[in-house]
Amino acid sequence: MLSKKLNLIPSRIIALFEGAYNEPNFLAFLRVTVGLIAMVDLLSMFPDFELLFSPNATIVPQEILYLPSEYFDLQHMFYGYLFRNHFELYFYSISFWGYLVALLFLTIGLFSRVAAIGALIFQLLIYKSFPEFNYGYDQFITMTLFYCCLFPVGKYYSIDSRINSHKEKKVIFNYQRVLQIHLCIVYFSSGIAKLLDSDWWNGNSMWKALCSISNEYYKIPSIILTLAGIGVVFLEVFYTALVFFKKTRQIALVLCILMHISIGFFLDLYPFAAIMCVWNIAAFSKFTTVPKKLA
Amino acid sequence: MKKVLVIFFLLHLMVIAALSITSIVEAFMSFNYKKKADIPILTTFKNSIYSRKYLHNFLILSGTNTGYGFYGISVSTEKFLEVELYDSSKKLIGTELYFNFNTINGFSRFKSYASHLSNYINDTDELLKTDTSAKAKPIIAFRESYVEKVFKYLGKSVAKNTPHCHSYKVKLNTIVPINIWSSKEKQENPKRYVIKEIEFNTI
Repeated sequence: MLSKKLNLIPSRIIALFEGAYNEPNFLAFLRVTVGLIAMVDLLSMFPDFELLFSPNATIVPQEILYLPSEYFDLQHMFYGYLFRNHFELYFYSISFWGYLVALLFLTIGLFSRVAAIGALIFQLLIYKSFPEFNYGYDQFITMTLFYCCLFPVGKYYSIDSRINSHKEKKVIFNYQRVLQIHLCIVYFSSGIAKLLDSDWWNGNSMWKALCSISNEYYKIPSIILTLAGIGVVFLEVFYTALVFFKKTRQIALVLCILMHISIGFFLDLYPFAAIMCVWNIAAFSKFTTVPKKLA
Repeated sequence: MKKVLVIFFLLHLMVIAALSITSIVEAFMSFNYKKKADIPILTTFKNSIYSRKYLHNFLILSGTNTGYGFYGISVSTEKFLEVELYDSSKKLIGTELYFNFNTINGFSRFKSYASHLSNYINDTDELLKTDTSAKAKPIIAFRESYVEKVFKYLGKSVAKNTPHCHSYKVKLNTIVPINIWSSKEKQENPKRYVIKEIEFNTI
């Protein structure tokens, strides 16, 4: 009996990554939105780009920017190689445009996988050159580009799909499940972390997160801050359960998107809000989950 | 092929789950009990990943090497950098908060840098208090000189564009946390506290 049940585990795990979903919409949505968000972020930073990434105009010398980080070994080796071979100036002049072109190719779906690999490499080389200036958004872009390298994102609604129209279009693996599980782990862990902090239950954490010398959010009534804090804790802790049931899935999704839009608006973290909304929509919205024939 | 994908993504997701649990427990222990957490299996698992370069590099490549700001236990108040510029008679001729950043995106990243610096200074102070061994001395000296160098460059980037500036003071500030249920504290403008300040001459 026990051995029979144990034998069932691998097949149940495999079954977890099977199942119908709207793979054309999911894969194309992920590819196009990550490309667009990363491009907008890069271009919106263009006037300040030299302060963070350039051979001699950074606000603090480039090597000091990555010195205390975990990327030091890799960056030191890479920049050492560039310096020894006099490629440094060449690298700085091509990276911005190289990254932009790779993102553009990814968005339109031209050589999608190569473009995703190129974008991931450029993103790491550029943004990990000033890791202390990174925040959650940068990690999420790295993760999304990494998934774009592995998922067949160029299979639908892309130039690649036009070129390779004769090829088999069936996707044998439920890639969306990876994103769903990843998102559930992230929210549950984040919710538990907040649950353990009493300041999330009395609104003090919300005040700390929102209050700045450049705004007047400190005037928001304490009761609203408290309710918002408790709401965030509940939403994150029960996210997995809420998206598991069909009846509550779309409500949880809307609440989560509202939460991220608020973070973007109140904390000026627009790219972060955008990428989190994309993950939520890609993973759980009707647009990407329900296959057309079943809709 | 399908089985390979299942195994690969399962391992990938298990690593993410393990690292997130470890990060939360470590942050909880460090915040509440001021000590390092040692969780059976998970701590060994995490250390073995980080000590193997190829695994660590894989985490960097996949973006799963950090907690992406999601797993911290306590929210900290805003940190911000400021430079005060003085002329030859020590008269204040200007202050600057934006350090030549022109975009919202750039300035948001600069605020993250202030938080990183604050954590770095805090960790150095902790090390100074808890580790009095000879081994720790050069590490502490390095960390202090690192912060000094960073402050110097940050101030210089503003001072070099300011005519008649003879000296400058770089400050790392924070907003003092309050209890929002204390009605008197809640109504006032947030108070500032200087975490660290260093003065430099332009010459």
